[in-house]
Amino acid sequence: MQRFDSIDAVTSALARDGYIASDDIATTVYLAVQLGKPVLVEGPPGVGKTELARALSRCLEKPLIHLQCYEGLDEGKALYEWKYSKQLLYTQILKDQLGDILQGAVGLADSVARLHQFGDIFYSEEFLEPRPLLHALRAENGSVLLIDEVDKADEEFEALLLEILADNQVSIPEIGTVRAVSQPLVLLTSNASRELSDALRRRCLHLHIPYPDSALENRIVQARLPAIDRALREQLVSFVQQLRDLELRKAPAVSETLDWARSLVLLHASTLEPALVRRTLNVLIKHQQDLQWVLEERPGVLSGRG
Amino acid sequence: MAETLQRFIASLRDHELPIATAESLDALRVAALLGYADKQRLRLGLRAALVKHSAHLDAFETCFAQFFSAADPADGVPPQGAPGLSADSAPTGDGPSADAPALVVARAAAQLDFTPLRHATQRGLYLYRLLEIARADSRAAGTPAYRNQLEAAARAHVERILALTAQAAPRRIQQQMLKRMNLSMLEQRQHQAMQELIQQLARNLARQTRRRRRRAQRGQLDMGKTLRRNLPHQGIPMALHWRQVKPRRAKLFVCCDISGSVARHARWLLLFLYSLGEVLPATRSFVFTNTTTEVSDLFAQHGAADAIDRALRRYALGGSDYGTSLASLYGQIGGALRRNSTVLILGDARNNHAEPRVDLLQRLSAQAGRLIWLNPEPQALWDSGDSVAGTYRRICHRFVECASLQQLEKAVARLLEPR
Repeated sequence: MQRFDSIDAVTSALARDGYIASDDIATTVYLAVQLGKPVLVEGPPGVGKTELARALSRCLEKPLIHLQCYEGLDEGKALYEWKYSKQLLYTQILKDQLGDILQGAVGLADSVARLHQFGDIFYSEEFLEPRPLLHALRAENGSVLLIDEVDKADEEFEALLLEILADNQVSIPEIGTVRAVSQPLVLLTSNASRELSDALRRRCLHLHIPYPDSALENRIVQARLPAIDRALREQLVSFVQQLRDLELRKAPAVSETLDWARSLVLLHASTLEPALVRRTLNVLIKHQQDLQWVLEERPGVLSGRG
Repeated sequence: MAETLQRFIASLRDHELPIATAESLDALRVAALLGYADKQRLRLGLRAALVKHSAHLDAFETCFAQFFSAADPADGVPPQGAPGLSADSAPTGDGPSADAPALVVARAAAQLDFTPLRHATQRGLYLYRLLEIARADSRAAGTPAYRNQLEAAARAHVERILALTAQAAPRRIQQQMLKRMNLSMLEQRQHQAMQELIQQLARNLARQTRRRRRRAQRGQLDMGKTLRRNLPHQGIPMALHWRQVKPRRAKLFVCCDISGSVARHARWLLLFLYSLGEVLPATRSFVFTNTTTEVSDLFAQHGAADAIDRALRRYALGGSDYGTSLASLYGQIGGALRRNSTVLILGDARNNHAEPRVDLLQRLSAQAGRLIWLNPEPQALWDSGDSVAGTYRRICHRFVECASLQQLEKAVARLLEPR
């Protein structure tokens, strides 16, 4: 297992896993581990926010617990739920037992007193269905908890997260407070489709991952696709960088660069020919309008002249 | 060094970064972990701990560059940018005991609290105080040349601190002033700042309102749904379902007097309402002087600010006649008014002695859920001259003065309150 005891250790551990981290990312991860604080990762889609969590989980050899947020996500799906059907089934089965227990009881008060001896058996650990957040708190050897696209969830859900993020604990009314066995490393990602509350932001370290510059992107492509020809790699990275400067509806992100690089390798391309780019551009540009616009209005880009 | 960090954080707060005590503590821990030697890493670490919003990144970078580019004077390192003041150019002939002036100033500065230093006018005072302490320093020499150097060093120090703190403060003061200022007094050069401020206020208001609406959704049990959903549990209500309140699709009809003096208020009111687009669905806008024209399409086609300019150019003719305007307004919206509609009228109720047509206003008031009148005139002037404010006031559900952005904000916040 890797220990993250310096920033360089973080960088090299992630690099060995194939994740090329900028200094910014490495510093924030290092601080998060050392200070035990969650990290809020923001940035355009496809720059490796989720991938960072996966890579960290592999480096730290801790399980990755992934909670995908969506509108209407509530504590029943994120935190815990009672196993209602099991409770019902048990009450049905135990009905007969009740007669035995109450045998010989005199009067109502006595019967109730006898029932009280059994406590809240139906609201105990056995009937608790843990959901991702509770799983993360209970993981024996720690875990990497990824709360993905937290901006898609409702504001109530954010409030639910606050206790977990700040104190690594959660309160379940019927049982009490569950504390983290071993502190999980928490990453939250957001695509800024909604403003997150200040309370949530305050509890996290903030990391903004922008589109990488060409040097970094070159290293990323090389790490992921060592097979690719150097000249081709530099060509395609500079091409993608140019596309990002255009006003597209959805600029190509790192994941698209990698997809494209993979396709080019598959096609045994050794250099970027305009015809080849034209045929494979749909891997890079995901909106039909963007695609048409680039093909028709910016043929200069295709021939690599900008 | 912790003190330096504190001052850095204070300077960030001046640049409107919301940094709470908890975050300052985080920053201290970060600095302890990373050390001050590697400035680049310190910057990244502090940024992760202190900047919680991408919008604040620029301010942080500027502050950091300003603050940590110069060596910290409190550590006794002579500041850069003051040629001839470094330790090795200490003036000779002042006796062996004299320290370099910059060093003396730095020591003196450590004893002085610079936090109140915000404005350029305070420069002299702080220079004087600093020099007083510096001259009393036992390791300072007394020759005139040395005194001159000391003064130069002190001046440079005060200027640098001023540069760190003074930039942000005027902006905040200006914003506060803009909020209180009468809207008709705004000058052209303030329009940009005003627009930003309005959008900011609208954003805040929208956020608060959204939350309020959510909260109002709970409370009533949806019996039907609860029973249906719990059929698998033999009708035992295991999961409860609450009745969802549909968001209030309130229709808002905004009607602005754009004659003469009121036009300027109309501009800001409309801009404010349009910045609230997220929480104010379905707004229809009208402008009037002596007849009412709908400008909703104009607003849809152009940006709010642009559309307002066009409306003013095209329709702002002549003096206002509320009677005829109300008649044509009623003709256009009378059929569309429901209990959940709100009619918002902005005007000074100066009718040029024409017929006020109180009956029409009464009908508007009766048919709409709410009739709100915003009057940009100070209350003292209501009912003076040709004003019929008093008459209209009795009919409206609310009739408020609205001359500054502050009042406008309050009025619109009330408008958004659930009834």
